Amino acid sequence: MTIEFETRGIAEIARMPATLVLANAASVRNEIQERIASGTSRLVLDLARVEFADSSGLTAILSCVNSARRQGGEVALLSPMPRVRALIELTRLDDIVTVTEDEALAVARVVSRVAA
Amino acid sequence: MSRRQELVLFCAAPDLVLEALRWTESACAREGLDAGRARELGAAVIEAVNNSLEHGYAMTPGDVSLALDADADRVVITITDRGSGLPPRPVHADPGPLAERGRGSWIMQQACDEVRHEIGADAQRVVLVKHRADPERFTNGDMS
Repeated sequence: MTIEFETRGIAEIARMPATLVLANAASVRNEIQERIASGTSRLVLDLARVEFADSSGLTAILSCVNSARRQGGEVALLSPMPRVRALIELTRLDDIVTVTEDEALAVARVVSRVAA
Repeated sequence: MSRRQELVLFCAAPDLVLEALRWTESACAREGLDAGRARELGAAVIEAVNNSLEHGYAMTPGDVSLALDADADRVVITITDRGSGLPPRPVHADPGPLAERGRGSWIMQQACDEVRHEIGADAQRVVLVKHRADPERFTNGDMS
């Protein structure tokens, strides 16, 4: 299994794998999408272990954000390493999702979002 | 005087792109390019190799070669494939955070000082140029 899930109340934290690139982006996206489809739409994606991501990985994250929001949920990004954070900022993904180093804050953000 | 280092990824598959990244950063270090710029160039190389695999070879195994040429002013990496597919069109504007496509091209252009696509009769090349000094690049994220 590439992703480890931990429950935090009505939210879950997904501990992401060491890379998020073309080779595994689709499987990571599918695994999270299945989680969302099964009812867990308030997710914190923990990026602390992700040493490298590419555009495929960022697109997978965006896809999960969109799916969660369609289900009335929310996604936050936790503790990206500098290389990954630079890509997030370059592509302005941080304009549309919370990016934080604080796990409690990340959980609070996804829990507090009111379904549209 | 230019110096050249080369790497060939035979029957390259997506799980080999990190080998291209490691090679890029090591080759740049041997040329004395600072680590931050080498990481930016590495991010662009990954996108170029991904394009070769996705568009050039349509995700079937195919050879991808990388060559690094360096002189006193700049480092140039050329990624070559012999696939039949055309590379994606360059993206000249920020595709925005919600875009499903075009993000890879945008990363390449933001991470490099110059990006060129060369389509030949039997090969396609992406040429990535990185100057050794350019304080205006990547001011929003140091990638260190």
